[in-house]
Amino acid sequence: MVAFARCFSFRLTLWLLGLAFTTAAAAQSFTVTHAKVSLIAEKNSLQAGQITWVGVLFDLEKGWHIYWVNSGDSGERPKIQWQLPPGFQAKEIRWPTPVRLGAGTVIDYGYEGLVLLPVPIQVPADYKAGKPVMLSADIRYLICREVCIPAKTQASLAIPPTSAGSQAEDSELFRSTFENSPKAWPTGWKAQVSDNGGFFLLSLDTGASEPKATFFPLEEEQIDNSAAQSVAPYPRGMVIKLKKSDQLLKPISALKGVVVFGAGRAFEVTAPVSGKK
Amino acid sequence: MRRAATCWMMVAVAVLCAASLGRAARVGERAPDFSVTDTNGKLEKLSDYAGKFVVLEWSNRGCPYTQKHYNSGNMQRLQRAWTQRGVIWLTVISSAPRKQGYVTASEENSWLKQINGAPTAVLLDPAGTLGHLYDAKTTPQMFVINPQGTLVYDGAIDDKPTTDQADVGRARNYLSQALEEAMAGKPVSTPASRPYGCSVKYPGTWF
Repeated sequence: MVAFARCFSFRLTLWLLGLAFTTAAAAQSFTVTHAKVSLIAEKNSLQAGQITWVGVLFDLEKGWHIYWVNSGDSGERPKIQWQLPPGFQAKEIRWPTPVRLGAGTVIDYGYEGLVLLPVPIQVPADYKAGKPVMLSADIRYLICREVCIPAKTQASLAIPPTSAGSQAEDSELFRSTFENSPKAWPTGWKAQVSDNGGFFLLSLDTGASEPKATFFPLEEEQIDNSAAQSVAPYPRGMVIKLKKSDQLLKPISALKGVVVFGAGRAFEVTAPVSGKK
Repeated sequence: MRRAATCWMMVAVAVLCAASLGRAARVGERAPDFSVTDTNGKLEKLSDYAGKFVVLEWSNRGCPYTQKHYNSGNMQRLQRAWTQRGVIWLTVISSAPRKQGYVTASEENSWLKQINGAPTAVLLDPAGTLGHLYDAKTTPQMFVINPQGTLVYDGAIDDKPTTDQADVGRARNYLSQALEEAMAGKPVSTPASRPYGCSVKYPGTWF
């Protein structure tokens, strides 16, 4: 953490010296309203026809947060608009596992501290090995503590980097972010929902009793975000009781989201809904 | 093994179902009555407006999503247009003292003049009682109550959940749509939506 902070102030200094775009563009960063935002890459080289991981790194001031793809009751997810060389194509953000934020009757989903939002970028098949490219992005995000501030910043990244940087640290950030991101739902596990009117009962059959779980809905307004989620474990899994959202007036065919078990083990889940609708 | 697992699951479901089912007011149900003092010291009761359409608008002038609609003049336009058609428009401020958006009655009245606001009244709810009664989550969040006292809309003001003023002109306004349809005696086609914006700054919450 300290190493990252030092690294950022070093990058910022370079930028202020006006050297950024040409010599230190490997990772410019800007201090914007309670966050340092920069672009980093998992690797310092590109391979034709392959996916390369690039990410927006938010170093958030203590007490401030940004939002998950479903921001929950309030807030708004960050949006990235890429400017890429011809043939390069950015895909969707792979959202790391969020946390519940807030208290009382308003609960949001988001991130605090150091947050990397990784994005897979398709390198064109005709890319010539070693050719320098510049990847740029406009990043719009809402950052909140007690109050919310809409922010917008521009960041760029040169690959290969034009100066010796912190590639090992950056690669490690991608590794730890992927480790803390939801995994695909394992084959053999079962997930189903029964609708009992006011609540969804999400049954997760994982083969082992799970005493702890939190469900994060991908779709807005399916569940009441602020309602307590009670968990009833049984020998091969658990049932999570989720109160329906006040704004959910129509039946739904599936609950989609992320379930986080004890020790931060997170999985993407799609559970079909059966029963009374 | 499979049968046993299913059986255990049913036990777990039964345990969870034993807990009672509490529910706030929802679209299609009777809107709960309230009695709250407005910025002119008048007690505003929902039941006093029986027979009229009532709009509840949760507001916090420090919130960038609320600002989008006031700085663009959109909210004042809506307030004027709908009150001219006989709608009772009640703006509600549920910010707690020392939190963003908290105002005294006189502060709010002079601000209303300055921005040319036109609600029927502004209700001061610093304890959050009315906010919790309607389970208001964000600013701006809108509710529409029909002349029979039924809640017919609960959600966002429109379908563009951003702070960008340019989106006001591009948005589908859910509030106006609900009022138009309900006044024409039609069912409201979008009776609920996700109420985007800033969290309501209730007492005791930290953001």
